[in-house]
Amino acid sequence: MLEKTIDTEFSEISQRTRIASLLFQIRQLRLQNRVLLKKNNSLEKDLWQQELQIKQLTHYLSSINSEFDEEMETAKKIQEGLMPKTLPEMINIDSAAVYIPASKVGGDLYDIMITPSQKTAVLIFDVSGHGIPAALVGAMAKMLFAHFIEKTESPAEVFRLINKQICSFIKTEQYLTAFLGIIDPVKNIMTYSRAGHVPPLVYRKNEQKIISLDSRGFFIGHSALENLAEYWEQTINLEPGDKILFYTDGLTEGRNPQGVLYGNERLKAVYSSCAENNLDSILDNIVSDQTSFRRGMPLRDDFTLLCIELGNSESLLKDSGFTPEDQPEIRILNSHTEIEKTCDLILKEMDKRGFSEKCIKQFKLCIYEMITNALLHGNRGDTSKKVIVFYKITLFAATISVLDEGEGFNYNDIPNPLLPENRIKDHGRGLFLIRRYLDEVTFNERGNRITGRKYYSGK
Amino acid sequence: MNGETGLLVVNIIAESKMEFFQFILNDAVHISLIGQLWQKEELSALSDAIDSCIHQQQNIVVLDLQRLSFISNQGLGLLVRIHSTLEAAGGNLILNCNNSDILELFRISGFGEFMKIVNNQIELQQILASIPAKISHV
Repeated sequence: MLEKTIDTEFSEISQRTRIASLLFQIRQLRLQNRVLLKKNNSLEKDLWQQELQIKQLTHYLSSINSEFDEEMETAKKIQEGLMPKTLPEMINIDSAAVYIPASKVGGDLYDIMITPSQKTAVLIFDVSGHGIPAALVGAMAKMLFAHFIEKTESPAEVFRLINKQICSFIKTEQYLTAFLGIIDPVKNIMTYSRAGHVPPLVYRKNEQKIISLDSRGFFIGHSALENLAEYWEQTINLEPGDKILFYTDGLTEGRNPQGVLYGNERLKAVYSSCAENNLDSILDNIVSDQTSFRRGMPLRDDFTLLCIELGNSESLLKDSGFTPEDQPEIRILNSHTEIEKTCDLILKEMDKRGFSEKCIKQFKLCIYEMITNALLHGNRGDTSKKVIVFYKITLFAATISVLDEGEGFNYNDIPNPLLPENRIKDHGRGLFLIRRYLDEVTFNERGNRITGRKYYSGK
Repeated sequence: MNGETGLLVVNIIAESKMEFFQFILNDAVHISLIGQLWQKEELSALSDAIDSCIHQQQNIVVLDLQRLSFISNQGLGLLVRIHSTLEAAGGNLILNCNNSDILELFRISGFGEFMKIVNNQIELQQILASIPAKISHV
């Protein structure tokens, strides 16, 4: 009985102990739970803060990205703005150009300029790298080219001067490759220099073959080469119908899916196959061929193609009143604003040859009148038509021919301005004065060309 | 002559090889041309100045060409038009010029037949004295 009682008490004690232990464990668990809840809250807070930070960073990155996109767009606009919108009216030369952009902004630029002595300067260059730095260097180079081509007609000298300028302004690794050709459109001679640029390809019409215009010359603007860079120039005689293809290396460095380069040989082959076509068609053929070669592979670099064709300088002079042996100077005008420059050039030549001041003034009145008549009456103010001025100043005579693209008119049918009924008419006095001041005045049959000559008559 | 004397106006024409001074003396507008009268800008500026004179009924105009070094055929045409306009308004144009090249040009162009051309101040005063006072002052 006692044993049973003891056992029962033990059992109760044991149960109580277990309950106490369980209660203790429960309390402990509750405490842990509270700590965990606290931790959880803190972690949630951290997580929320981190989410917020991520959102803020994402927003920041996207704004940087859109700024970058905007900057790239600006760079693209800068570069495209530097491309000529139209190519100038040239004597005896036709031209066509195409620019194929890549996803990145490149540094290709080309231009055709008329030098002060009416030669044609053909320029193509490619700035290393991409984006805004390339666009800025391109803009600077283009301005420098325009400036120095006005100063000198030696391509190598232009490169020397530009290299010096760019090296003094740009201390980065940026550089450019360039090719500059200066063409005398009457003699059909091109003087050129190559500053590390891909050599242009000349299609010789008579021989029906393509030659490459290789020559030596360093890059332009690489500061490490500032004192080492040297440029050489060469000349090439061109024939009527010859074509020159200028391009940038983005064309030949295009790759197909197997990684094979488009290359110079394929370019020569396709150029050769279509070289008898017109200029636009040649460019279309080359661009299409390169596109089909790449078979969908994106362009890694933009590229430019510029093609020119030489005309026949003899036919140009045919109706000028001059012979090819005369080798007259030629200027093309299509607006009134260019008259003064032309007059100045001619009159300076006369001054150099010792013509008297009085004679120069009389000649000035005549040439101004001839050109104004050609623009206003011959071409009827149509600026799409041009006036070509041919002149030759020697020690013996000053000769000028002015040819317009109008229908021509009868020069014998001009009213006499001295008659009272004609006094207030503008028509007639100009030609009357030209006939009085010049020693010889002739017209072509069509009546769209006047030629005048004044002989030297002492100082 | 009983007249009014006005302020000196200096006209400098942008991008031009000519400038001109303008003042009123004894009922006549004196316009002194300096440089070259040959291009559109100079011709328009001079034409505007004359239009303004006519508008203000100052229709006796003396063009002083002593310091004009060159004139184009368009310049000559403008002188003829100024002469006709002033004459139609009952006024007068007097050309004062001693530049032998320009005088020769006037002679060849027959200007002496219908324009008043003088080549010194005495002749100018004589010719001005011979012109009756302008209609608006009578």
